[in-house]
Amino acid sequence: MILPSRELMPVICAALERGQQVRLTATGSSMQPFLFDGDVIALEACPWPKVGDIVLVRGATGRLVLHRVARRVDDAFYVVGDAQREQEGPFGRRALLGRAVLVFREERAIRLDRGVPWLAGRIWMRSGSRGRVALLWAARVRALGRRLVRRISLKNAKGATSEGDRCP
Amino acid sequence: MSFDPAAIRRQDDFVLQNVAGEHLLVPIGAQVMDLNGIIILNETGAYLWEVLAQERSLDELAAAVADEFDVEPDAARADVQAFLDEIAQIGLLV
Repeated sequence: MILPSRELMPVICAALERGQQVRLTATGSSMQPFLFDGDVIALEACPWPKVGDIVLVRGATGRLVLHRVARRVDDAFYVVGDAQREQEGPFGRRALLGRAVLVFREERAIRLDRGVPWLAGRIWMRSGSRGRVALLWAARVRALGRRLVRRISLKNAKGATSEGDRCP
Repeated sequence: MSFDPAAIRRQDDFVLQNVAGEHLLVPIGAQVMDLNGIIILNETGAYLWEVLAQERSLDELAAAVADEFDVEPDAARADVQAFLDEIAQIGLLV
C-alpha cells in the first residue's frame, strides 16, 4: 500500500511518537484482500512488531510501505504485501514507523492487530495458492453468515416493533 | 459571532506546520490525528494563527492584517471576521 505523500511523514511520525493514533487513507493494491485502495487505516506507535502485524516502514530510499511482517531475524524483520510473494527487508527498529491497528470500512472498524483478521492474515501469508483460495471462500461464507444474521436480527426487530405497535 | 471580539485567542492543542508549502494545523492534543480531516490554512489564515498565540481584539487583528497584506481596513476586517467565525465553529478558539 502507498501512503500519503512523503512530505506528510514527519507529521505522521511526530504524532505517533506523541502517542497519538493516526488515521489516513491508504492507496494501492499490494495488501489485498485484507486492505483495499481507499481504506482508512489507523496507525499506532509500536516498539517492535510480531509476525503477522501490518506495519508502516521506511525503506533505505525513503519509500514508505504498509505491509505485513513475514519473519523476524535477530534485530530485523522482513515484510511482504498480502498480494505479493516477495519479501522486503531487512528492516531495523529505526525503519519501523508504526503498526496498523484498525481499518474503517462500510461504517465498521475492523481490528487488524488481533483477532480473526490478524490470524487470517498470518495464515494467508504462509499459505500456497490453494490455501489462499480456501481462505477466500471461508471469508465469503463468514461474510454471508454475518449478512444473514443481520437480516434475521432486523426482521425480528421489525416484528417486535409491529407487535409492540399493536399493543395498547 | 461565537467569540468575544475583545478577547480572541487560539486553542493551544494545534500547531501550525509548513508541509510542502502548505500550512497545516496539526492537532497535538487529540488522541486521534485524522489526516483526512486535517485543516489547511492559506497565507492570511496562517498569519492570523500566529498572531492569535496571544489574546487579541478583532480591531487589532484587522489592523494587523491590513498592515501585513496591504489591504483596506474594511476588507481586512471582513476577512478576519469570516476566518474567526469559521475557526470558532470548529472549536479552534479558546
